[in-house]
Amino acid sequence: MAAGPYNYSYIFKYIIIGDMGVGKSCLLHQFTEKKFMADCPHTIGVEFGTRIIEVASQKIKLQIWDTAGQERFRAVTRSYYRGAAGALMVYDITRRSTYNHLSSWLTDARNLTNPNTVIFLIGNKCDLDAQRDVTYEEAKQFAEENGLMFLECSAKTGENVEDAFLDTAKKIYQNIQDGSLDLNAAESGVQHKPATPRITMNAGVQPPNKEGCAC
Amino acid sequence: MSDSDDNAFASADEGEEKTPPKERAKQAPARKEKKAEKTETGASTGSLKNPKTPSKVETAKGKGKQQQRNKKGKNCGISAVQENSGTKKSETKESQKTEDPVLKGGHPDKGSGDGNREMSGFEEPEKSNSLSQPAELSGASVPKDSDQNQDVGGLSTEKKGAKSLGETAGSKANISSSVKSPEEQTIAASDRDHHTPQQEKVLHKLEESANTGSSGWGWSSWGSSLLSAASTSVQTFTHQVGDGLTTIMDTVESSLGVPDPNTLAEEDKDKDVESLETAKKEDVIDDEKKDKTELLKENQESERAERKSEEETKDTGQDVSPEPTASGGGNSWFASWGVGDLAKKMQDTGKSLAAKGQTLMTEGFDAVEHLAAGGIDVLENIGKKTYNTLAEHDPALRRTRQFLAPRGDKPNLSSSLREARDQAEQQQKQDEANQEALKAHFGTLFDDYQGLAHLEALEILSNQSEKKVHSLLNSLASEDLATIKPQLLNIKNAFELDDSAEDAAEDQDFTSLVRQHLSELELGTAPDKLNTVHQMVQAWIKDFDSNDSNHSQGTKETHEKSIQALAELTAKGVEQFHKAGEMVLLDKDKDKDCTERAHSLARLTGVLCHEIGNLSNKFVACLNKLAEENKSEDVTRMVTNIYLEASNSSTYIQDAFLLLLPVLQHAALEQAILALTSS
Repeated sequence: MAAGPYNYSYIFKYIIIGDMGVGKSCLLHQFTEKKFMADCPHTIGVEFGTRIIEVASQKIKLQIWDTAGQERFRAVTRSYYRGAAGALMVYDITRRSTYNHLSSWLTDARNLTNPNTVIFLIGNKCDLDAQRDVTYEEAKQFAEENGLMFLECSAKTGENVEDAFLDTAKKIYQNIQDGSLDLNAAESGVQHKPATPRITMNAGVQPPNKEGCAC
Repeated sequence: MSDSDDNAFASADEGEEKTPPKERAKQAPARKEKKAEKTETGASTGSLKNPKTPSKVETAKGKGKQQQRNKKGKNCGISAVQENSGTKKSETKESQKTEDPVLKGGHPDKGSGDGNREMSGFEEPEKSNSLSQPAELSGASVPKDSDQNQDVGGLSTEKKGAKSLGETAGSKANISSSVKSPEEQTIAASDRDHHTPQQEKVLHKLEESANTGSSGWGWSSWGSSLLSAASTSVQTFTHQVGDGLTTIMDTVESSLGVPDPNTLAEEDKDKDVESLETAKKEDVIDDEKKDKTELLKENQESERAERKSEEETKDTGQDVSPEPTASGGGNSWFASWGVGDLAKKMQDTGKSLAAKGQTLMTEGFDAVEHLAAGGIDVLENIGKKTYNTLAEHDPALRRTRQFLAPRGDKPNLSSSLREARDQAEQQQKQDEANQEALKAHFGTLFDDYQGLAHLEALEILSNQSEKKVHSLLNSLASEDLATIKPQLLNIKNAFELDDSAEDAAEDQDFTSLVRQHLSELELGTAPDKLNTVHQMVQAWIKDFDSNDSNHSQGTKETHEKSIQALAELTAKGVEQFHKAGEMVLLDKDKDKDCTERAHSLARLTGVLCHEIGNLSNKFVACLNKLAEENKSEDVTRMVTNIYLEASNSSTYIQDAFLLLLPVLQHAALEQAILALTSS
């Protein structure tokens, strides 16, 4: 207990946003489970995923908030932007409308997160190239114009999924290293060497329990 | 021979290129000397290119002395041709003490017509003496040498030998010329200074041993006395070498054994002569050689008795040789070839001396003198080589000393490696222990099941709603506030949890109750996850109860399972409240009374907390059962832990429920405001 039960140094909060059906939950599932979830139910409000990654030999726990894409949830999901260190903004390359809504999502992301939040644009379903409705070039240009990182991914094949999550983490870590992200700020979205959760009030009792368990 | 000698010097030059200019300068006159001799002696080239000379040159104190010696060498070369060996003998004896190579170069036997070949023949042993050292050091065996020596005679092998001479000479030059250490130079010089007393000493010793007679010349004792004499000069080296001293001694012994003249002369005389002849490729001196062979034979007869004893001692010396390996066949062969030459040379010496009417003993001493000089050279070269090997990458032998010195308590590699391994193992154990601890750590498990995340999200919603409620209340007119306030208070009252309900210990139909209360909420949320987890836990308990006699799980596993179940159920309960809160906010326009929802949620909370209590009781029962079966185990701590975490779990659920109060008030307010504005 003295060393802490945690095997990571940082917690980064991510939020995945984007229109309904672009594959946000599938991206998360692919990232955390390395599997493709074929019939993914509509997300209600927000769901969560976690995975511990390593950046610059630092263990980082990614706490990913996968928001509902349905418009009716938007009022609620807007509440969850706060304190996100990274925002993955997803559109579907086979549906132009999801790309067209990006500016709206981007506005939310900009307004509801802190200025240092890393926003990563993901064009999902790149395995369906035949049905492509949004070219890579225009999306790339959009990303450059808005200072976003960009990748086309496929939650189905797993292509670039890992990179999107990891590159975001690297960028956040870089921001921490160069001091542009203040860890002490309440909304940084980053927790460093987290304190034990609420349960710590029992810490005084737990160590003897553990000894008892060690049998 | 000239070809091979050229080779030898080509390689020697290569070796010399690595030497400091100082030494090169020293060696340069040596080559001059050889050239001069070449012209003077005419036929013989081998003698002029005695590899011995460069090594001697190296050990010379200075250029001046070297030049002096060159002059002497020239003189001797000339005198060797001109003077009779008998008169020359005394002269050379004198000069030998200071100028060994000169003596060798200008040996009296040169005067006997076949002087050229004699000289070369004499020089070859010198060469081989020194040359054999690297070979022997590298594992060439003397016995093998002698065997090969007996086979000598084929021209092809001879040429091969000549070639290997070139190589060996080159390598030798390399070795000796690579001596860079000033200490080495000084030592070598001092070695030379000691020559005279040393040799005298050796002579005396030899005389004594020869007089005793039984073991011939007493090569072994001679060798050891030589060694002791030489050891003063090579003490430094041998001291450094440590364990290698034995090897050196053996090598010295074998080196000394090798140049035994009589054995070789007896057995391989003709072959030697032949091989020498072919090796030198001097057709001109064929006749001379034959004459000499005859003379040798005669001489042999006269020396037979002595030779036999020598042979014995030589054999023992060979037996002592510790490195009978097959490596460096050419070199070792050549070494033996050189031995043959030396033997012949000594025989020649004896012959000429006999012709002069001198005693065999004197002759023997003379030969021994050469051998002594050669032996010291052997030692010197061994020392040099050893020192070079040690000092090559280790200036001043610091590392060698450190290596040979006792370690003391200085940490070494193996101990530090062991330490590192132990540390790693400990770290791993620590990690494993941590992992084990995490398995039964409620907080961590609750987090893993995303309970914390849902609680955090719910908290965000709650805080936002609370702010909204405050702002809405502030914005409302006092009359409207009065109409709405009772509802808000009702909702708040609904959140006053009835503790007495939790005391009920009887089983409840959890699934149906949860479903019932959730449906009362009319939020469209299904308790699927919650029920799935609950069913899983129930199934596990049932399975445990039904397998009374066969509990594969220990108390530890049961405890872990209990905590896991509690954490997961709590997490799903919190998630359920979180979803409810989200839906309440989204469905706030619906005409559903928030007070009713509040009551439904309160009942749901009661059901969840009750279930947590029930499950913890069941888990404790399981643990107690296990404890009864395994009497040795004390489960009190685990039981306490389960009850503790159960209370924690209830706290989380009640916290989540209480977080919904602002959300419901917010919803109620908005509904009321909506109703007010619409009416």
